[in-house]
Amino acid sequence: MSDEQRTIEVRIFRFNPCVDKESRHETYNVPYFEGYTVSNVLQYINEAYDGGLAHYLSCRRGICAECIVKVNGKVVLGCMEIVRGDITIEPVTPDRVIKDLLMSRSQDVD
Amino acid sequence: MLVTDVLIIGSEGAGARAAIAAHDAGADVLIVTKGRFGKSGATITGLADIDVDSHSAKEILKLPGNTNDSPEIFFEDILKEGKYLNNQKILEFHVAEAPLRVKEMMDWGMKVRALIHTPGHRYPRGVYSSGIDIMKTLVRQVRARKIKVLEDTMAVDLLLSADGIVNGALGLNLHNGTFIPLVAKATMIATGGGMMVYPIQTAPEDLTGDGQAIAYRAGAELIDMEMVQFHPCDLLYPPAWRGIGFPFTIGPSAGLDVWLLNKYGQRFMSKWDPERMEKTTRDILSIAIMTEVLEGRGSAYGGVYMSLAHLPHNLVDYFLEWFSQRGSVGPNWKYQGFNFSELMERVKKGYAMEVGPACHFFMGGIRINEKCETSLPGLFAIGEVAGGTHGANRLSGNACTQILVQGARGGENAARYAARHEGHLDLDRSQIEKIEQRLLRYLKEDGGLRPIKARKELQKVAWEKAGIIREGSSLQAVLEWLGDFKMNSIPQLATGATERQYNREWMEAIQIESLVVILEAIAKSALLREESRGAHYRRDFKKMSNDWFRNIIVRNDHGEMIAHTRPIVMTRWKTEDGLL
Repeated sequence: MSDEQRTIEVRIFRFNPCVDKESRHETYNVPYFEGYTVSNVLQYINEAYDGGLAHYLSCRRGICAECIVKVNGKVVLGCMEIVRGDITIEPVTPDRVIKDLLMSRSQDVD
Repeated sequence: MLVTDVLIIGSEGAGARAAIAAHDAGADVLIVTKGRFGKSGATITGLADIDVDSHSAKEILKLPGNTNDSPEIFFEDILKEGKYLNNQKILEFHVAEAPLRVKEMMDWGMKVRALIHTPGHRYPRGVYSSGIDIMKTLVRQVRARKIKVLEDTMAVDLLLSADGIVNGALGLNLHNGTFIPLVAKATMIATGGGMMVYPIQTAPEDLTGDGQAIAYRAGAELIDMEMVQFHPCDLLYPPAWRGIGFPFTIGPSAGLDVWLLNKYGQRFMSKWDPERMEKTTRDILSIAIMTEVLEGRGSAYGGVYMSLAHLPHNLVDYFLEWFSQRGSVGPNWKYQGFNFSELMERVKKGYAMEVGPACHFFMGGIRINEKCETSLPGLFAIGEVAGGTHGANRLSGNACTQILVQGARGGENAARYAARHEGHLDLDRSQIEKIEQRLLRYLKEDGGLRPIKARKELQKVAWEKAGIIREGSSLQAVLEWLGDFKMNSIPQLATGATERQYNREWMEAIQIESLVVILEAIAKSALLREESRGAHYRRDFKKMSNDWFRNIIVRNDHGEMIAHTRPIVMTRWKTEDGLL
């Protein structure tokens, strides 16, 4: 909590195929909290800016793996990845996007 | 519109097992889940011991069980832990069918690591697997049967025929925000507990009590809703670790002799259980910690401190070596998806973890009988969403047994029911329109109350006034607060973002309706029960009372929640056995 004044820039892939012609990136300024994960940051944006920002979150402990996203180009689990500075969050497979960071499921259920 | 014989709401442990049973009994089955199959709900997060009597563990499962045990002794232990509130007809088949259900899971490929002995059991009964393994096994079986699974679709209300028979549910496709009637001859709810009514919980985000709420709104009775189990020592900070039970696992559960300290450094457990101290039962630990917090002696993040500073470093290192053979904590302090080695390095240098209780399990839920039928025709409930199995407290390992046993039995009974009934394809459009209008009104741009904020408010009230420690005045205050919340806040909910496609804030708004039902049911039931029993602790009635060998029921009477008592369902054990 010592760094409460610091903010970070979070760039997020946004795309609602029902409304948008093409995807875009939106940038949000988010206060930096020590120990926040990518999922915590997305929840913060849901609460502070846009409740419609779509992402999946269930188990919060690295088990279900459905919160998988790309952060600064690297594939990570949103609920386990600690945020340390400015980040860009994108879907792992853009052609499977239902909305924003939410992807349809792969066929491989196991 | 989709039409099926058996509609199963909830896809994880209980729902998946029920789908298999209903399919094998000849029914056409549709599973609907607001999350993703095998990837949501509570089952996958379980460390997962599955209880069977130790005799059967040895004879049927070929595990190192103890043949002095029997289903009858197992039955007694469950009843003792449940403080004799359990429905004994449910328990009869619970203990009788558990070995068959576990055997079947092992035959289907579920890995078993050990047979463990947990507190409250007279013999080792916990067939130790993992939630992930349970779900992998069930998912394979469901897929092999080609059972349809509708994911990311929330059942928002039950559909009722004109004569009050449950006729399926109205689904909300979360991807595109459209409603879809799911019409069925038999409907089964398997959505788990309502742990999200509290601000800290060991459960995933999904457990918002939707199943109890849709059943209640349709007129089904809920039972034992005052009985909520808390898990005593979970991490509080940082947010990524909130509600993770690692400290309890390595400490009070069956691990190290840790010290719990308040902000003055006092080892407060001496006031509560001077003999067992931190190794006392879960409910006493939770009550003790919460008392420190509520009386202003808590830690910075609203818990207490768990210290290992009195232990030599090499002892802690060696502990990891032998304890990790049990499987729940791996090398490098790996626990679930987490690696706690950095944390443990700090702990060894004298840093105390901040820990507190988190909501863990609902003993109460939709009232069912021994056929898993609810009080509404055409509606079944199984697993944690159903009440009556555990009474006033649950033994470790019995949740997994419950999902398998009730899944199999409930699924088969639902299929039989569906075969005997015609179903009602003539949908009541006005009923559907009313539900849709109710939910669509939350999609408002500005000016109202944001659902995420409203949920946090509700959780705070639940935690402080209807959580681990309750009293008449605090429960009255909850009911008054809820009256105002329903009247003034709910109509003002406004999502901000107004699109219908996967709108998380809209989901929050819909889930708040569920949480309101859960909190009101807890508060009404807890207020009526003027005693302390099992997980239910009243500061103004600290003793268990012989007058309270009754279950508490709540039901929807024209929009008003009514609470009343009901005699306990007994078979071989009578009230006298549980008298003080």
